[in-house]
Amino acid sequence: MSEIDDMIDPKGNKVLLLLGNEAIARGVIEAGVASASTYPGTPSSEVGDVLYRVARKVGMRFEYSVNEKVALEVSFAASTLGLRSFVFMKHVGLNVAADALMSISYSGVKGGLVIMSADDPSMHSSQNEQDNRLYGQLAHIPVIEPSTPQEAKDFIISAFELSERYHIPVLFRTTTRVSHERSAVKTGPVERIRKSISFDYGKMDFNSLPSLARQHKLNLERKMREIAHDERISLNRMIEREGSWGAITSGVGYSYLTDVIEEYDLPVSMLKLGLTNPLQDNIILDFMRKYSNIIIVEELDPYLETKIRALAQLNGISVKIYGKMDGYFPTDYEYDGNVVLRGVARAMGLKIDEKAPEPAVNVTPRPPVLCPGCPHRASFFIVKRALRMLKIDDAIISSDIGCYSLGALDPFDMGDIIISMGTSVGYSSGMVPEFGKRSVTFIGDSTLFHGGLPGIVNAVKNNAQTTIIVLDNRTTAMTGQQPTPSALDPAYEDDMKEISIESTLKGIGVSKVVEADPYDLKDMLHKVTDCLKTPGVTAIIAKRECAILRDRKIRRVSKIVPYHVIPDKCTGCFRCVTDFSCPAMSIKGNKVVIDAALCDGCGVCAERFVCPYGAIEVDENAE
Amino acid sequence: MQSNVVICGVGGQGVLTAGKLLSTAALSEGIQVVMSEIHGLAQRGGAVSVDVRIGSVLGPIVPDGKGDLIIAMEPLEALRVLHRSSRESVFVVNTQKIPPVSLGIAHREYPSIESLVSDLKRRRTVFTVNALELARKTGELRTASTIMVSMASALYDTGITDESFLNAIKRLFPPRYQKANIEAFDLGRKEAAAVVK
Repeated sequence: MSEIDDMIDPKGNKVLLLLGNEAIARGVIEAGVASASTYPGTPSSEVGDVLYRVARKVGMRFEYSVNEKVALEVSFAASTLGLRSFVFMKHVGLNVAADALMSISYSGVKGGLVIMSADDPSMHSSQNEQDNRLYGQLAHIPVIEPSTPQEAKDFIISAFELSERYHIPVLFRTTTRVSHERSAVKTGPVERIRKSISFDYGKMDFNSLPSLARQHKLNLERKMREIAHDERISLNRMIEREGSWGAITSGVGYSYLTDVIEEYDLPVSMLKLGLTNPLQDNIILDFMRKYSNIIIVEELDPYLETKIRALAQLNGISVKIYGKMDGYFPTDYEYDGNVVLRGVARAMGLKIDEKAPEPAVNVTPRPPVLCPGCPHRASFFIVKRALRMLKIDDAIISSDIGCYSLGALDPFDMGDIIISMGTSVGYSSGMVPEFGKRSVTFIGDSTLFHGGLPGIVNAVKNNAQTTIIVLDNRTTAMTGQQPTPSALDPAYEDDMKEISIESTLKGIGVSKVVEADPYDLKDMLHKVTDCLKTPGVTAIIAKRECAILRDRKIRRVSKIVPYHVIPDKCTGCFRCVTDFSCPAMSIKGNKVVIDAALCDGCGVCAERFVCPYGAIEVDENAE
Repeated sequence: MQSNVVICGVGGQGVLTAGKLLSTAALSEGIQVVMSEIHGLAQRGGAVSVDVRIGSVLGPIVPDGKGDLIIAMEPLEALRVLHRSSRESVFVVNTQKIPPVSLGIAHREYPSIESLVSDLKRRRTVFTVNALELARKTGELRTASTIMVSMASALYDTGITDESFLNAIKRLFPPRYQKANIEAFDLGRKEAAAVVK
């Protein structure tokens, strides 16, 4: 059986090696979810990669929505019709969806609704490391945290049961190391999808007028009190050992703590919490009465710690608690075995003879870069040149979230502003005539639809001074090439309608909208300078398919033909490596060489703008 | 038995595939395994590493200084993860160099492979191979990661049999790439035998 067959196998009872996110997708299938929606974002994207491939096979409706708020609203709609629905996103995506979430929690749900938030401690692929458990507290909804891929699958099923029992949305919170951990998962049977659709007309359950919201709030608080005492919930677990120490933990912290306790044979019993909002007070109180010293191990904010300290105080329990608030554990970045070991050893006063690992060697840094053949490289190269030609040195470069965020690094330095999805244009709409400043705005095709359109409306309305470069690579590239509203997947085209970026911008009233191919440097330069010279809001749609997609297509039918440097023609001026900086190029002696194994054959470097000496040519004889 | 494996390289070199091959083979052998992956922006042509922990542990990250086997798809990347290993660690290093873009921008050349390897050899047990050149023999350059896993698992015993590796290859690769990967696995084993001689 292939991996995909195993993923949709109705019987289950198999041991598969699954990524946390794949395990969640399997959990969603096992739970008989009828509708799933998302906007892709690391570290949540692989859930969609699986569901997108298998949804039709298992009879589930799946969609990549325009942004996280709409994704939540789509899932909420399915829920009001009585269907089980699942929506998932990265942590900052929940900020976008939060407006709707804060009232959906009040109104409650009909079919089970589970909202997954994948947090990113250490910011591997994110602009912040906010702790989204706090959203559960803010919205007064349950929060479930798995520690391993197995739990990720199992807890999804529990989350739907809880959501339906109390008609409440449930927040399912993972972190990078749970979502991106791969380990053995035993699958279970698949529940049949319930497809009977009904809507309760006239009931006003889902209406948040103030008079109704006041009633909803009381209902919501009652539900949460009941959940805190619901003994049918079995998400919390005790792991007992001899000794007077206790530890309370959740998420991946549990895994590190288990390893430390076992490796050093420590007298520490564990209370592992899978339900972290509301806390089931009785279980925690019993644990605190049993162990007079409690260590709390959780990544990021002292979320459990704050609640547990309050609980001890309220109940007059004299217990010594060790956590973040007293400095035993850090509040920033993700944990690992070493961090947990240090905190536990300090709390317990243990002398653990750890050989300090050798310090890291100083090696040339290798930050992520735009791929060989990436059309964004050509766009940044040309915009930089156009600004120099027109002697514009005071334009603020307002960029956005995507692979093109990397344009902020050497050698392009295009990213004075990078804040959140769509902020590039919102920021530029503040470049109003009163301030006498101008900006150049970079925004990707998917980001434009996600959060850019209101900013463009505002920029046109304000008569802001900006040239918008829409980096239209026909995909949501950074998260793994998901389709966008303007580049649908051909397999789904018949059921959907494609949105044109050009007509959208023209419809809003952008004064000049031109399309250009960034691979054609000369034409692109001409169009960029023209737009930069035009007052008001202008836009260039730099349209060229993502190199990863293009390479994949070429490899399917033939081979990539690389380019090479003719040594006799290369003068060693190094302009190509300093200004264009393709990863396939490097310096050898006083010449530049192109690594045929890395070159993707885009040929942009062969244009005279990159090599004025014509030293780069296609290598027809390459193996 | 417990082994901590760190696989490092440059995004796009097949570091994830190598990790999946090793962990799938471990599971096929019936050994507990946990692997940690990196996706998204962190992957684009930058330094990447995945951790594979074989044996009874839960935490997905190999603690600094605890790596037993380091599989480096690129020589600079081997040095970059030195602090994750100990003096007893075994390094298996692919000598295919990929110069970081920052070197070119600064008009600098990539250091010689010999100097990098001898620097590493002063500190650790090191085996080297040009896996990209070997992969050419299979007709598929992307089998370099399979060669590295094969060679490394011969030089450092993870308790996984050849049969389990072959099962894993059949499970992970689409049929049209299976032959090349099985060939790559053989090449890796032969190379390992040659370097210990």
